[in-house]
Parts: sequence; C-alpha cells; structure tokens
Amino acid sequence: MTAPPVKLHKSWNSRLRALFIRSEAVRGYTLLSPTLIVMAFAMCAPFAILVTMSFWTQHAFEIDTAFTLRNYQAAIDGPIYKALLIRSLWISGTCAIVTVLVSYPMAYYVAFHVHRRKLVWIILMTLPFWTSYLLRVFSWKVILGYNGAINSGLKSLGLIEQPLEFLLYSPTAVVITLAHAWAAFAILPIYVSLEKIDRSLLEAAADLGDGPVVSFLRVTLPLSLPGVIAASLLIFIPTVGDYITPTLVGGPDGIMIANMIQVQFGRVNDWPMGAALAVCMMVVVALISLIYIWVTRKMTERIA
Amino acid sequence: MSGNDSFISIEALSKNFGSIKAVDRIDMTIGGGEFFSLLGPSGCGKTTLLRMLAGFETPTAGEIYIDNAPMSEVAPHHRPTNMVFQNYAIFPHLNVRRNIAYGLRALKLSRAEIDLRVEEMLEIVKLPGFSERLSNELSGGQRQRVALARALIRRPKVLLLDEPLGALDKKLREEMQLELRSLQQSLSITFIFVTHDQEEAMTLSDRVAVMSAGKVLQTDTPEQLYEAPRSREVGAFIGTMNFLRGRVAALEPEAVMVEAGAAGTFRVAGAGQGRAVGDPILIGIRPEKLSVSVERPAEGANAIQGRFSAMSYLGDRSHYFVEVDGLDQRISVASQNDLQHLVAAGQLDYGAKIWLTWAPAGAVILAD
Amino acid sequence: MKSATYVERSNRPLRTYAMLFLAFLYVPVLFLPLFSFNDSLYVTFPLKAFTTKWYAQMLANEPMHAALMNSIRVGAASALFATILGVFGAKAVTRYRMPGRKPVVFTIMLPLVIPGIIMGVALLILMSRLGIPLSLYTVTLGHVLICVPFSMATLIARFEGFDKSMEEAAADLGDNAWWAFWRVTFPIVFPGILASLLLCFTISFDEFIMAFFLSSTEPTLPIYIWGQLRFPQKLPGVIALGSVILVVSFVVVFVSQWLRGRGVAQIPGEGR
Repeated sequence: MTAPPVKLHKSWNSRLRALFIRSEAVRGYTLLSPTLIVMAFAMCAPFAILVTMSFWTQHAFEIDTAFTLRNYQAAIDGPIYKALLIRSLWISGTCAIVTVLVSYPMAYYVAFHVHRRKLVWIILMTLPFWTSYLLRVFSWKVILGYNGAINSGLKSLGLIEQPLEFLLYSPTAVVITLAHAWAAFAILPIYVSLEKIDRSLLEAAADLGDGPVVSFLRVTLPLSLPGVIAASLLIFIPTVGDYITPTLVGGPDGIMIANMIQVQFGRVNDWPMGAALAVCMMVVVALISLIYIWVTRKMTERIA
Repeated sequence: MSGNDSFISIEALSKNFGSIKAVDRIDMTIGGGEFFSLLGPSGCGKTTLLRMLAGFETPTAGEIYIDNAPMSEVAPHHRPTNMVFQNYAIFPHLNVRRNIAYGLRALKLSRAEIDLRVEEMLEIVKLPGFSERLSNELSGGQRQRVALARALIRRPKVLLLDEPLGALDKKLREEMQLELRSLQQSLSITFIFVTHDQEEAMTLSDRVAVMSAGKVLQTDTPEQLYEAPRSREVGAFIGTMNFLRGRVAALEPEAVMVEAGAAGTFRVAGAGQGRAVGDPILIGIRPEKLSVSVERPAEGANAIQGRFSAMSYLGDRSHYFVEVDGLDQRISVASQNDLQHLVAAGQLDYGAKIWLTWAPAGAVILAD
Repeated sequence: MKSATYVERSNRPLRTYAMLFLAFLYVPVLFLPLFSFNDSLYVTFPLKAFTTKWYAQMLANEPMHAALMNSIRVGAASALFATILGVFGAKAVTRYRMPGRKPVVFTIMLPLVIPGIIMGVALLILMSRLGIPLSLYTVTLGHVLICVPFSMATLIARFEGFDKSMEEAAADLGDNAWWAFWRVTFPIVFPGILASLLLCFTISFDEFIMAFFLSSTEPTLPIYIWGQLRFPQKLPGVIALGSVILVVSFVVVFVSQWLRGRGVAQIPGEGR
C-alpha cells in the first residue's frame, strides 16, 4: 500500500516538532545558533586567513601566494623580533604581577569590609576601565612627560632643577600605565572569588586558633587563587599585544612586539611578515598561558 | 463534570533525568471535580508528575489524557490546566490587577469585561482593594491568593497546585486549607495538589496518591490510607505505626493467626491473601488502636507484655512507649491519659511491666 | 560599623589603602579636565589663567564633529547588534540544559582574551582578501565582535537571576513563547538589556585598535584624536575633547552598571 505523500510529510513534520519539544539541548542550540554562528565565523575566518597569509610573501605591491616558511625563518633569525617579543613578555608579565599585587588588597577590602553601598564601590573600582583607553594612556603621557605634570610640578615647587628623565619613555612608564589601565580586569575576578568564600570558614579558622594573618594564608588566599590566576591571565594576554601604550609613553626602550606588527601593516607594508609575527606572538602567549595554568593547578593540588 | 471517574488518565508515564528515574511507569486516574493530592517526601517525583501535567516537562514515555484528549503534543499554553507555583511566580513588574488579568489576553475580552472578572476574582480570594499593589507590597498569604486568582480566572478544567502552602506559617496555612477546600467545592474544578505534608493532604483531599522513588505506593481516600495502608512504607509515612513481624500460624475464613516469636500469637482480622501457613507476614497497628493496662487481660485476647519505658504528655492525650523482648523497636501507644494518674501518684515507674491489648480488627496485614 | 561580624570588622590600614587606590585610579584621569581650562598651549605646571577657549575651539571644529557623528553611528549600531546577539546567547545558556555549554560560552567569550591587535589585523586581512573596502561598516563588524562577550556577561548575570517559573507561569496562562517573552521576560530583564546597550555603546565609542585597522577615510573619534596627538598646538583642543568624552563615558557607564546591579525596573505603560 502506498501512503499518500501528504500524510508522510505530516508525520515527518510532527516527528521533527516532537524532537524540538522534547529536547532541551535542541531548543537551546536553536536559540543560541545566531550568536554562535556569527561569533564562530567572525573568529575562525579571520584567523584562518591570518595563518594562511603568514606563509605567503610580499613583493613590492604584489602578494605571492606560494607556500613558504621564509617569514617564520626571518622571525626566528632576526634578533630584533626575538628581543621585542621577550621584552613584551617581560613587560606584560611584570605588569600582570604588579597589578594583581596592587589590586588584591583593594578587592579584599570591598569583599570583606564594605557593607553598605557595595555596588557603588564596585562601580567606582571598574568605572575608569570602561572609558577611553586611548585617553587614559594619553593622560599618563601628560603626567609623566618631560615637561609634564610631575616634572613641572616638582620644578615649580623648587624640589628639582632638571626634569626627571626616567619618568617617560621607559619600560617602567609602560608598566605603570598598563597597570593603571588594566586594574579593573584584576579587581573583578579577585573580588568575585573572595566574595564567594563562605564567611563561616573564616570564623571556623579563628575558632580553631588561627589569627587573622595565619587564617588569611591558610584559608582566604588558597580559596581566592582561582581569581588571582584568572586576573593575571586576563592582564597578561591582552597587554602583550598592546601598542598604544608603548607608542605614547614607551619611547625607544619601551617598544613592544605589537608595534612591530603594526608597522608591518602600515609603513613597511609587508602583511605576510606581520601575519607571521602575529601568529608567533599568539602561539608563544598561548603556550605560556597553558604552562602557567598547568603549573598553578599542580601547585594548588599539592597544597590541597 | 463530577462523576466522570477518569477525567484525567495517566498511562505508563515515565520521566528520566539522565539515569535518574524521577517518575517510573505511573498509571493513575483522577475524577472530574476531585480534590486529588500527590503526597511524598521531596524527590519522590510528585512535582515532576505535576509539571508533566502542566506541560513543563515532557514525558520520556507514556501519555496523559485530560478529558479524553492526549496531551503529549499540546504545548503548556494550550492545555486546559492552570498552575499555582510553589514560589507563586507573581510577575514583579505588574500590579495585582494585571497579574490576575494576565491570562485573559488570548480571550480578547473588552476592558470592562476584564475589569469585571478581575473584581470578581479578587472578591473570591478575599483581596478586594488590592488591585493596584505590586508583588513586593504583598505578604506571603496575599501572594498566594493572587496566584490562585490568576490561575482560576482562566476557568481551567484542572488546577495544579505545587506545594502552595509550604511558605506560609502554620496558622495561616490552616486557614488557607479550609478556604481552598471550600473554593474547590463551590467551583467543582479538579484540583491536583502536591504536598509533602501528610496532615495537609489528609485534611484537604478526596483521594491521596502516596509516592516514593518515582512510583505510586497507594492511591486511596485519606481514611483508607490511614486505616488500611497496604505497605509498611505507607503505614509509616501516614501517621505513626507499630510493626510486628511473624509467621502465619493458622488461617481462618475471616482472620489470620500470626505467631510473632517471643511476643506471642495474635488474631488479625482479614484474609490471608494467598499466604500459606508458615509464610512470613508483617502486621501494623496504629498507636491509638492499642490499650494499656497494668492488669493481665482476659485469656484469648491479643496481648503483649512489655516494660513501660517512656512517656510524653501532649495535653489531650499521652504517648506511652513500651519495650517488648524480641522487638527491635519500642511500641508506641496513644491513649487518653489512661496511665497518667498512676504515674502521677508514683504507682507506675519506668521499667514496670504493663500489658498492651488490641482488637483483631485493630491491626492490618501489610505487603511488606 | 557596629553590626559587622568578627570576620568583617573594620580595618583602618586597609581602608586607607583602598582610598589611595581609588586616588591612583582617578587622579591621572582628572588631569585632563584640569588642564582643559588652562590658558596655555603647554601642559605644564604652574597653571596659567582660567579659560574656556579650548572648548569654544572644539565646538567650532568641523572635522571633529564628523568624527563624533561617525563614532555615534558605529557605537549605536554595534551596541544594537551585539546586544541582540547577546540576548540570544545569554537566554539560551541560562534557560536550557545543554551539553557542551562550557566550551560554547568559552568560544563566545574568546575575544575578551585575544589581544586587540591580533583581532584587528586578522579582520583587516580577511576584508582585503574578500575585496570588501574598509568603511565604518567594517569598523562596526569589529566592534560587534568585541562587544558580544561583554553583552553576554552582562545579560547572563541578569538572566540567571530571572526566575524560570515566571515564564512557565506565562505559558501556563496561555501565552506562547513569543508573547511570554514580550510580556514577562523582556520587561523583567529590560534593565540588563539597557545596561548592555549602554556598555557596548561606550566600548565601541572608545575603542581604538580595531578602528585603527578597519577604518578608512572616515575616522571615528579616537582615530581623530590619535591623528591630532602629533601636533603640539592641537594638544589643548584634544584635552578639552578628552575631558568631555571622559565625563560623558563616566556618566553613561555609571548608569549602565547601576541598572545592571539593581532590581526590576518599572516599565511605563505596563505598570499602572
């Protein structure tokens, strides 16, 4: 017997509908699909083409699409690239450590000692982060400059004769500026991990004979470690690729790898070389982050 | 509607969450206009069953029929059911009037008609004059009334109530129980009521289904559940019950002789239900079916001797606890202060020998 | 505070530290408004006379107006698209039990931890290989990409506080998913959506790196400012402009964060 096609169609339809109604996962992914597709495409396509281009070569205004490892050869052989990358890692690493160290007490204060208007404190701590990055870096240039606020202020107070030259155009200036600019990224994760700690655990520690310092080291710090790890990565990874800060306050000694990448896409106009440098930077940063996560996880396991 | 014994019919209904069987092949029929309770400890599957009736959970297997219509393909907003949520789910951005009128949108009524119906509902749930309040301006009891009005204004065939009185304090809860009962009787809508409070289920319901681990243990009237529980689990869950384990010593037409080791041999009213002489058997006795005395009862009556071990005075009655050799649990006796004067006069000490007696019809045979 | 427990008792040194920290966060930024009223081409102490002429100059600056309009257009479009994508994403991951939820959220959040320059050059290469000319549209695309994680984070926080039984109640009372969303979900999560819109707008408005790589002849405001920084005589004008942007961003972000943290808002029209 042949079933009428209409009926067949209908049964398929209702089966699909039944699947849709029954499965939460199917409904969830259907709802998620616009976001997921856009984000996945907008992330994957550019990265695929970035990696591909890093194997091409630039000839004047033409791009030769023959596969070659020449760019990577140049990136490894050229001492300037290596030096810049190492300096970038060093500056970002220092910046991450400094920012976390400076931010921890602040997050601790708000988590444990602010009782009223907590929301206002949280907003106050994070507010500068949302405002123009460019302007915040620029305001540091105004402050640290050769004739900037600090130097001219100290001079007009008669405390110094000559402007302090080390303030601007140095790696130190870059670290200070970056620490200021990224403080919110450190405070928030640390604050969240501290806020999650059950207060009765600390009372238990006190009850069992630990003083404030010891209970901090034995209870609070270990429990807030996930926040500290997240904070340090959230600062380290993006700052390696920063080039505004080095350009504005870094001077020749504060130039970082991202400046070199930017130059390849601008003045030098060697996009494949820039792509190769970008890929190198990404790989190195990803490796360091993974090792860092692995090591800290091992360490916390040993403590626990 | 009333008189239709299988207005709602549940057939082989199952719901799995991963490997957990929340509801495990349940069959059930509920009559039109019945006040039906699902009773059980938390995690027994009663809320899952209710949510499947409402359409918020899709069954893994089985089917629900309401008024002869299968429900599995019917979305929640097309079902003839309405629900009072456990936390009431009063929309925080709408006032009482708009909350109650919420479900009338699809009916496309005129503004005046909507207002009339809302006023009528406010009258019914005893909240006149509250129509402009927001949910955070209401007490727990008032929210509960709003949730009720909001569900009833749709004139559902079935009202589902998910522990609606759980958040209220004891006094308010008892008051609401009475109101719910009279409301249900005047509207003659089928109420399906989920609760873990056995007293509440007994007070309100025409019939109660006792659930445990995804299965229905027994469905009966409150009286039957109390007087004739079919299993140890039901007997223990509804009120208090003493259990005696033994063997069938002899079978009579209307009674079974049970030999319970050192405790003695007793006559229990009821048929042997296929048991042969020598088979193990479990009997249950409610505390108030037992009487206590210091004198030895007449020969041939059901009696156990034990030691008086504890007592709690509850005002209108007292509970006595008696230790019996060969039983691992103390027997609990509820009586109207029979021994109170003896204890008070110092004539009965803890440890003294006393007798427990009961009528053959006072005990029930349990299916383990 | 008297009512504080042992653990939360007050700690004066820590409080002082917190104050100093806030000063460190805000003082550098406050130098811009300070010098914006200083009657001197040079940004140095001691301050000269008070003036508002830099603001007057700014108001008369035609190219700056064009850049401002570009930024507003890009910001509004980015905020809208990012928030729409954020609503879908946040709703899906908070409402449904989904296998693989974590990696999916991680993928969407990835732009948070990728250095801006990488995203910028990668998109630049893609556009040039696809033959799409750089314009404000390409800038918007880049901005949507970096705004979606922030939108998702804001909205997930809001949706997680949203009681699932509210939607079930709406369905129970006869509304299909569409009506339930507009009559219940949307009004309740509206503050979160508003917060996301404001936040995304601010991020896009202030964003520099993506705009640097993806814009062409029409600059956004940060690109315009970057161009002006090379000319010392333009500095006071930039400082005045920067001060205005800072003040406006502060207000907008404060409002958005406040909305995000606060309870249910009253929707005019549905309320009474």
